[in-house]
Amino acid sequence: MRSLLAWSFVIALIASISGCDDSISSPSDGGSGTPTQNDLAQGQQIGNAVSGNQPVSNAGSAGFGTPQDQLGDPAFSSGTQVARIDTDGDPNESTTYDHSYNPETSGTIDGQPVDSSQYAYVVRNAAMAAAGVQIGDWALVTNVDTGEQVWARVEDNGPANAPAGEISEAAATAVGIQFQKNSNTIGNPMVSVQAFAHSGSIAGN
Amino acid sequence: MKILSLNLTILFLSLGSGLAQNVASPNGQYSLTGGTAARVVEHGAAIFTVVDDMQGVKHLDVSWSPDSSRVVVAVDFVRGSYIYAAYLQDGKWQRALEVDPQSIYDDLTKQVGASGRVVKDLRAPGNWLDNRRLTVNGKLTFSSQQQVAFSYTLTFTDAPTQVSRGGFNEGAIKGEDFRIH
Repeated sequence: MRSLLAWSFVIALIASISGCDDSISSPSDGGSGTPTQNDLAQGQQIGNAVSGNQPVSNAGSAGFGTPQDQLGDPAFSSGTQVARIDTDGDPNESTTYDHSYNPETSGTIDGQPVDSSQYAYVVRNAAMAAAGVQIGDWALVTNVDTGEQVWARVEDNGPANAPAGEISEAAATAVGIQFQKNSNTIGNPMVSVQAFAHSGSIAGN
Repeated sequence: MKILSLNLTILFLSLGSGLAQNVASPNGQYSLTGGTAARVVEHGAAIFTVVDDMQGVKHLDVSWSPDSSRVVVAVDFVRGSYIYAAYLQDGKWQRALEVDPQSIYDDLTKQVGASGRVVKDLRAPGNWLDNRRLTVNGKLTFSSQQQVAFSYTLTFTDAPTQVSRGGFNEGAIKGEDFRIH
C-alpha cells in the first residue's frame, strides 16, 4: 500500500507540472459603458523615444526598446490596415470599459501579462503565425497617415482571421494614435505592421 | 486509504486536463503529444513538429483522421483558436496552418446581422466526414458582445502548395462552407 501511495504521488506530481494550464480564460462580460471625455487616453508618451542607432529605421520605442541587431527582411507585412487597440494586460482596464478586455496576454514578462499601456506590442493572427512569427518576435508599427514608427514585440494572439492592425495602447500612443478607454480609436487611423520571425532573442536597448 | 483516494483523484483530474498530453492515432502507430511543442510521436520518439510555439496556449484539441494519416490540432489562445494540421504525403509528414480570407468574418457578420468586429474566435474539431474532410465547430464573439455559433468543413486539398516562411504548406488545408447556427 505504501508503495502504491508513493507512486500515485509521483504520477500526480508529474501530471500536474507537465504541459500548460488547461483552463480557458473567458473574460466576463461587463456592463455597457459610454466613455466620457475623461476616459479618453490622451496620448501620454511612454518610454524613451530612441532614434538614430537602429539601422533598420528611426523608429521610436515604448517599453521594449529598439532591437540591437539587424533584423533582416520582415517575414510578414500587413499592408495598410485600420488600427485597432488591444488593452489586454493593462491592470487599469476592465470589461466595464472594453468588452473585449482580457487580463492575460499570450506573452509574459517575469511571469506577468504584458501591460498594454506600458509596452508596445502587436497582436498575432493566423497569417502571421503561418509566416513563422512567434510570441516575443520584433515588429515595426507604422502610422500610415503620419509616418511615425515604433518598435514593438508580438505579445498576444487574436482571432485567427482578424486583420493584423491590432496594437497595444503604448504602441498606439507612440505613433500618435488616440483612443478611448473602451479601446475605440479616435478617427480612423491606419497602420502597417511588419513582423520579423525568429527575432525574439535579439535584445532591445 | 483516504489519502490514496485523494491522490488518485488529483491524478485523474490532472490527466484529464485540456492540454492533450498524448492522443493516439486510430491505428496506434502514432500519437500527438503536447508540451513545449506539439509533435507527432512514433514508437516513443518525436518525428515531426506540428506546432513550434506553445506560449500562451490554454488548450489543445486533437483529432486524428480515421486512417491515421492526418491529424488536426486546434490551439486555443483564449481570444483565438488556430487550426494546425499534419499529414502524411509520400511517406513524409507535412504541416499546414489554416489561414482563411479575412472576408470570412465579414460574410459571417452579415449572415448573423451582428454589429462590431470579431474579438474572439474559438474553434474545435468535430466529426470526420471522411479521411480528408473534418467538421470544425466554433463560436464568434463580437465587440458588441453578441456571440454566434458557426461551423465549417476543413478540407485537405490536393492543390500544389508552396511552403511558407514558417514551414507550413500553404493551401494544404482550407475552410469551406461556413455556416452560422
